[in-house]
Amino acid sequence: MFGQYSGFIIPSYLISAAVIAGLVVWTVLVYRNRRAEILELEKRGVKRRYQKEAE
Amino acid sequence: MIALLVRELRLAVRAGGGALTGVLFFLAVVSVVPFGVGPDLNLLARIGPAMLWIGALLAMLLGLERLFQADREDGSLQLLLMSDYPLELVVLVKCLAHWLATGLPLIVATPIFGLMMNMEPALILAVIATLFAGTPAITFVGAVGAAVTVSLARGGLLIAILVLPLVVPVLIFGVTAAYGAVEDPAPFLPPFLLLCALTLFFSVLGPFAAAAMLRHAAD
Amino acid sequence: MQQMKAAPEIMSETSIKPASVWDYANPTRFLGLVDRILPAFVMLTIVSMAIGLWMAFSAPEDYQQGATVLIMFLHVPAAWLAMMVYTIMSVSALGTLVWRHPLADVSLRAAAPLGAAFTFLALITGSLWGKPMWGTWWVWDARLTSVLVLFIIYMGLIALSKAIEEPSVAARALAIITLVGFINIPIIKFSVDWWNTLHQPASVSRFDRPAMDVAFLYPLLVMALAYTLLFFTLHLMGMRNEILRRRIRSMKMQTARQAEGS
Repeated sequence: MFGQYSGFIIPSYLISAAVIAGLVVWTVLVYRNRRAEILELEKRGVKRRYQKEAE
Repeated sequence: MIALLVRELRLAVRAGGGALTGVLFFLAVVSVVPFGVGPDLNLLARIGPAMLWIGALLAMLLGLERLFQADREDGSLQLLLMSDYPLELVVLVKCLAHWLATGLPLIVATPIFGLMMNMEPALILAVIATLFAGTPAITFVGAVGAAVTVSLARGGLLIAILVLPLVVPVLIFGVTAAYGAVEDPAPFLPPFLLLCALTLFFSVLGPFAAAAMLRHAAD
Repeated sequence: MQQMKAAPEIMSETSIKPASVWDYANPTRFLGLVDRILPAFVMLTIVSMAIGLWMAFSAPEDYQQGATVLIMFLHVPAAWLAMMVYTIMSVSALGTLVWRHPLADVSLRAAAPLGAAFTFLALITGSLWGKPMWGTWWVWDARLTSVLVLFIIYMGLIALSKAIEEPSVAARALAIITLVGFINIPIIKFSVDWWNTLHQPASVSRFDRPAMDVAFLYPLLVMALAYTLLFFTLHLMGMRNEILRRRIRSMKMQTARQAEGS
């Protein structure tokens, strides 16, 4: 597809995409886990200082 | 301040010696090299200065962990914080003591290792001179690493990871100057002066950064 | 629809009162801001990335480099970001040490893994570009070496951030090491330049032309913009995660205290 250099171009795009996707997935998963954990703690009745401002 | 220097030195010697352990570690590193690259004397002579520098660098890193940790454990760090002297000065003196106790023995041992590496006398002399000018910089940068990890139980490896990239310039100019002393086209003085400049620069930066950290970590 | 509504709100709010970083010193207010502007950032990132990629693939082949010029559109923005992220971390470090802004440490911690990732990408794509162009995966060239050192510094900072439990001590330690690294980076760069000129004088042919052709410059700039937006999006999300982590920590400590009390 890119001539003789496809062996270098395709991996570099694939690796970049993989690293960026990894970052995004990791960030989103961490966010979900932490939010679930906070909801869980709140359900158990733990209050935090800014309770009134929480959604 | 002199009293502090003497106290630090006495502790270093008494503790069964940071000094001796450092030199032994230096010996271990240098003697492992020929097993790795083979006993070819010409090759050893060529890579000798670099190996001595790397060995000295690693040996310097070895003792850094204890620079402030022992003081923190027995509470004397609090006393130093409350003393009339500025903490920056205290850190500087502690660095000097650490260098006298670990850096200087390495330099004294260098000629022997140099001979084992089949280096010419002129080259050994150059390595001694560059180590003399450069190793204090390692202590000063290391003091920052030691101050930052002072509260950690096992901060030694972390210090090495944090400090090694920062002392890359010291290693570069030290080894370049050492080679410059014997190889004809390469100059000796410019890298050597840069090495001295680096040591002076870190002698200011190191104590200030370390003191900024210690003030906070003590309480 | 919600996004459309969110945008004018920000505009009106910032125009009414002078916005300052201190307005968002309160983590809850900051989280509110993140929730409002994040969708816009995500959209802009996706759009600019798509445009950038389209422009990159429709760019002509370079007469010297052939199709490998395509790697440049990934490599150069990653390298730029590697440096920009470190600068942002240094400003955050100043924020912790000088202004004591509560979010400065959050920003520094969230930026470190991103900086490491972009530096890693710059090294990998550079290596993949170097093999066909220079004939080798790696040369101990001044620029490569100093980027490698930057990568080690990033990793050291991440290790340090994981190692210290006490938040205020960790914040200070990270800030100090970041700043010492920042002062040192020009020195490393300079020393490595010097080191390299002595040992291997100009053995590497490289891509040096007075001005880059517009056909390559525009896609490159759009890709750089996309990478920058990507960083800010991930940085905001990372900061949000870090704030939540602290919240969980304080809530857990509270339960521990309550358990002790009862």
